[in-house]
Amino acid sequence: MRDEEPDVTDDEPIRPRLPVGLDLARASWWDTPDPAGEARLMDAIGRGSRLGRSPSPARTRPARRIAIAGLAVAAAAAALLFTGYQWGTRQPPARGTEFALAATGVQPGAAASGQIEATPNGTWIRLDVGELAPAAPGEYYEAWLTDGAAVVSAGTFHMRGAPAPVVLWAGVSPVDYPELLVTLQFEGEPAMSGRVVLRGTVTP
Amino acid sequence: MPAADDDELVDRLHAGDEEAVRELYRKYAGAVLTVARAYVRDQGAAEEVVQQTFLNAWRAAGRLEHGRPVSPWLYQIARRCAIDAIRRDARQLTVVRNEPTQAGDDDPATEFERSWQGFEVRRALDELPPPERQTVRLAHVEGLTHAEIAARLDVPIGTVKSRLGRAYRRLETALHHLAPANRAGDADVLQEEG
Repeated sequence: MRDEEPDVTDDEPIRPRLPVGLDLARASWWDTPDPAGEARLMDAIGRGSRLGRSPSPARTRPARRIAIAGLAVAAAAAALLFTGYQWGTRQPPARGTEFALAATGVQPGAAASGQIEATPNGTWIRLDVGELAPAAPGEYYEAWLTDGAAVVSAGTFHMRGAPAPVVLWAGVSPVDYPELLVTLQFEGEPAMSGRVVLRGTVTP
Repeated sequence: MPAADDDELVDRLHAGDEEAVRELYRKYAGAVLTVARAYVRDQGAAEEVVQQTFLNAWRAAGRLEHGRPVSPWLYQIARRCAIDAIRRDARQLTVVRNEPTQAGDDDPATEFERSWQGFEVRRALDELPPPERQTVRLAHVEGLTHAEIAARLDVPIGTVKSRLGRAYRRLETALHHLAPANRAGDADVLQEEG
């Protein structure tokens, strides 16, 4: 198909006069991102938003904050209703109830198993973590219990020492927050990073 | 430099508009991938770096000040994500390096692709109109002559030349700020992300 662009007919060689020296033949200038990457990103952002992760809520516009607050109240009410419904069917985990966590794409080789117990003073969690890389300086791992809408921290660890079980405590019930996430965090950034390395359900 | 568009994107990111992340991805994913590939060899790992970069950008968007350019901010996030990926891998392998890298440690071209200048070059290439970008790629990557490109695209040879000429002028303009004489402000725009 021919187009209507003006033709250049002189025989002068056409060369780029770029302000930086570069080899335009290198494949890395032309690699195309995975076509599914955009959908994966939007899915992850959607899941993160459902977990309460979005750009600094404190600095969003007032109208937006009001809307977000309204949505949060509605979500909390829905969660309360859902919890009320679940209350009669779910039981607090018995001593030593076992669970397993699966790796995500962040550290595909990671895995963990554990035990959980609802005690009178909180939820006791023991994690036996396999193949989780030691956290880099300035980073650490954090465990979270979530109901899919809200997250509650269950403690932090770094995996820099000899292999040993990680013991965590959470102040919420796994009946209400049945999913456990482990994220990689940056020091000084206490909000959930969203870099989930392990996830799984802890309540049978 | 489409600064106005980026300002609007920043405003929308601040407001929690998820579609703004999609637009940011479409505009910058190629540039982020070039930087990622310059750090990590594996294509899958580089794609993970791309994903993490935009997730982190979304989460940090509330700290991006209005009027601050997006490009160097996103580049810094990409670079940090790539280094994180290498550190994780290095620790799993118990390999210690001072400068974490997997790809072409001593290759100046790789060093350039890892730099903010490399990020900007890729972005400028991605912003070329598709016919011009295709012509430049055929000329440089496939090494075709003007006549061969004309035959491949079924256009007059003069069109090939005019496309190349326009593409080079666009690149020259888009990358003008990278000329050594114009780079005094690099340190200012390359602040660490908040």
